[in-house]
Amino acid sequence: MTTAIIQSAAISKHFGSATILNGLDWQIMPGQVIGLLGRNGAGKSTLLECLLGLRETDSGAVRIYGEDVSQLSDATRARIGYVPQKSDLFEWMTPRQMLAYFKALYPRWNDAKVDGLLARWGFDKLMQNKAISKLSGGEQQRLSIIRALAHDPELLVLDEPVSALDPVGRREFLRELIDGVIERGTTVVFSTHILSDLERVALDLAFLKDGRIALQGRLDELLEGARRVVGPAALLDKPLVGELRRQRAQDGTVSVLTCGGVGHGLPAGTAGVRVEPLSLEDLFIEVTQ
Amino acid sequence: MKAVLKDYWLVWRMAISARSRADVLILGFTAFLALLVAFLVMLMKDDAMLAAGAALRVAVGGAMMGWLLYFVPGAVKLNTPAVARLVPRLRRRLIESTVLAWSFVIGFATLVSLGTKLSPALVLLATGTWIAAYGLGQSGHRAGSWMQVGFASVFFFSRSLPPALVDGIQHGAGFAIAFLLMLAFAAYALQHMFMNGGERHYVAREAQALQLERTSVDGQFRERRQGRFDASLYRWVLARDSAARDSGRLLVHLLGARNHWVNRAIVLVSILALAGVALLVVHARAGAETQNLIRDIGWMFASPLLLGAMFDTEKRNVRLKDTAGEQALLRMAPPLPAGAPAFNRKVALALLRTALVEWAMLAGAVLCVGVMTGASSANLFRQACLCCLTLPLVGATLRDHAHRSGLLGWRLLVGFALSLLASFGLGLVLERAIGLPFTAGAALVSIVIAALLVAKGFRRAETAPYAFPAGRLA
Repeated sequence: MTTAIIQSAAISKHFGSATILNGLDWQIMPGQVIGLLGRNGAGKSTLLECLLGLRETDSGAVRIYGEDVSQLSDATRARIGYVPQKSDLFEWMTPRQMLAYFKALYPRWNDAKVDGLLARWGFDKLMQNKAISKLSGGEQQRLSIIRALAHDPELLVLDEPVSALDPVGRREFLRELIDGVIERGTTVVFSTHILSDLERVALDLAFLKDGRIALQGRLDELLEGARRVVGPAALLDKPLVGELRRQRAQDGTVSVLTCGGVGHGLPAGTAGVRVEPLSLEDLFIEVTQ
Repeated sequence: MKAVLKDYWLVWRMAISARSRADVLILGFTAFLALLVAFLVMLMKDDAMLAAGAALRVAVGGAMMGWLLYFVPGAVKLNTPAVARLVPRLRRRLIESTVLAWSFVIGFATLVSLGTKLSPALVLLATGTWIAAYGLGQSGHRAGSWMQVGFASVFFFSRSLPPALVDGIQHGAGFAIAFLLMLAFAAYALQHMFMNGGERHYVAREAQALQLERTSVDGQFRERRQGRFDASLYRWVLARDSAARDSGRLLVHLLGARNHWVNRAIVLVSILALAGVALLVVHARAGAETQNLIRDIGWMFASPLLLGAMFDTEKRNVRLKDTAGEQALLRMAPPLPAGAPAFNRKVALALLRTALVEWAMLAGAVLCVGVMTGASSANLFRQACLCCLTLPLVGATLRDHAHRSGLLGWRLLVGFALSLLASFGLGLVLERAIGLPFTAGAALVSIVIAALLVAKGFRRAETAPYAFPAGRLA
C-alpha cells in the first residue's frame, strides 16, 4: 500500500470567531496532481499554510512524508517547493541575488534548470540585475515559480501560482509544470481560480467549502458523473444517488446536484425531469455556493 | 455659501481620515494643552483674561499643528492624478482650503508677534515661507525638505546674518519684494502639492507616496531604494554571505538591504567624516576659548547619537513584521533547525548579533567623536559609561515574534526609562556603598540589566511557537 505524502487528520483553524478549517481530513498520494478549488476566503491559502506547518492548527495533525509538520527534518524540507500567493518577496534583491541566496540555503540546486527557465521566461541580463520591486506582478510570480522549482522538489505546493500571469505566461507555466514537473512524478498541490488551467493540468480536484473538502475526485470522473437534475418536487422528493445538493425554486421545481450517481435512481425517461451535464465552472458554482 | 462650507468640511474630513483617529488626537491634544496652560497661568498670575488669552493661543496653535501634520499630507494624498482630472472641484476645494488655512496661520502668527520683541514683518515672511516649504516637502519635493533644514540653520545662526539685510527686508521696498517672493514660492509649492494630473503628476506620485509613508511611524522604517554606493556594498556583503552558506548570516538579510548593518556603517562613517571636517574648520578658525569649550563639553554633543539604538530596535521590529512572506520561505529552507525551540534560538542569536553589532558601531562612533573633540580620558570614560546605559535596548529585540510583531512604541520608551531609573538609582547606591564612580556604577547595572533581558529573551524563545512568520498569531 502506498503511503500518503501529506496526511491531515481532523485539522481545525479559527481566526477569532470565524471557522476557516473545520475538522478537515485530507490525504495526498505520491504523484497526485491536485487542484484545490474554493471561493474567495474559503481558506485555501490557510489550508496550504497549515499543511506546510507555516500556521499552527487549533486541533488535528498534519504529517508530511510521515514526519510531524512542526518537526520536519532538513531532508524533508529539501524535498518541498512552495510558491506563496504573495510574490513580491525579497524585493530589495535582484533576481540573480535572490536565486543565489536560496541556492545557499538548499543542498541541491539545478543551475541548468534555473538558467533554462530564466531564458525561456524572458529574464534577460538586464532584468536579472533589476531590483525585484521594479519587476511587474507577472515577472515576480514567474521568478517565484523558478525559485520553487530550482531544487527539483518532489512535492510542489503552489498557492494561486498563475493569478498575475497573462494567458501566454500561464500557458508557458503550465507547459513547464507538465513537462518538467508532473512527468517526473512530482506531487503537485495547487490552488487556483482559473478553471481552464485546471482542465489542462489537474488530474484530481478538491473543492473546499465550509472548512472541509466538500468534493474530491478525478477531474474526468467528476465531469462525467456530475449532473443537474431538474424537475417537479413531487418527482424528486426522495434523495437521489450521489446527491450533493438540493435547491427548491420559487416556481416549485427542484434542482438536485448529483455526482457519480449512475442513473441517479430515477426511472429512465421520467417525464418532466431534465438531466443536464455540468461544466467545471457549473460544478464549481454548484459545489461552492 | 452653505454648500461651499459643506464642501470645505467634507474636504477636511476626507483629508484627515487618511490617518486614523486624527480628529480625536488633534482635539484631545489641543484641549488638554489649552486647559493646562490656562490652569498654570491662573495659578501664577491669577488673571482670568490672561489665562483665557493664553488658552486661546494654544488652542489655535494646536489646530494649526493638526492642520500641518494631518490635513496637509492627507490633502496631497487625496489629489491623485485621476482625481485631479476627473474631480476638479475636489482639487479646487483642496487648494482653496489650503490657501485659507495658510493665510490664517501667517495672519495669526503675525498678530501674536505684535507687542513682542519679534518683528511682525519677519514673523509673517518666515511663517509663510516655512509653511510653503513644509507643504512642498510633504508633496515629495526634495527642495521643500532641504529648505526646512535651511530654515532651522538660519534661525540658529540668525545673529550672524548681516543686520542691514535683516533690517532691509522688514521695511518698505525690501519687505514688498520679500513678500512677493514668498507669494511666488507659495504658489509654486501649492502647484506642486496639488498637480493637475497628467504624466508629470504620475511621475511625482511615487515621491509623494514615499513622503506620505514617512509621515507614519511604521513607514519610516520601510525598505527604500538604496544609493548606488550602498547598493554595491550590500551586493558584495550578500554575495559573501551566500557563498559562505551560513544560515545565521543569511537570516539577517531578511531585514532588507537598507537595514543591514553595513548601511549603518556607511551612515556613521559619513557622520564622523562631517564631524571631522567641522572640527578641523573650528580648530583652524576659532579662538582658544571656543577650542577649550569644545574640548570640555564637545563629547556630550555626540551622545544623542546613542538614541539611534532605540530606532534600530524599532526598525528591526517593523522589518520583521513586513517580511512575513519571506520568513515563510525561510521556514521551509533545509539548513534552519527543526522544532520551534531550536529554530527560535537560531533567530534570536542572529537578531542579537545584529543588535550588538549596531550598538557597538553607535558606541564606537560616539567615542570617536569624543576622541576627535580632544576630550580628556575621564570624559571619554564617562562617555563609554553613557553608551552602556543604552545596552539594555538590545534585549528588546528578543520577543515572541509569532504573537507580537511591529513597533514596541511606548512600551520601549517606558522600558528604557525604567532601565535608566534603575541604573541611576543603583549606581548611586554603589557609589555610596563601595565608592564606585556614579557613572561606572550605572553602566555596570545597565550591563547586568541587558544580560538579564537577553537571558529572559532566550528562555522565552525556548517555549514560544515558531518565530516565523512573525505576527501570525497576533
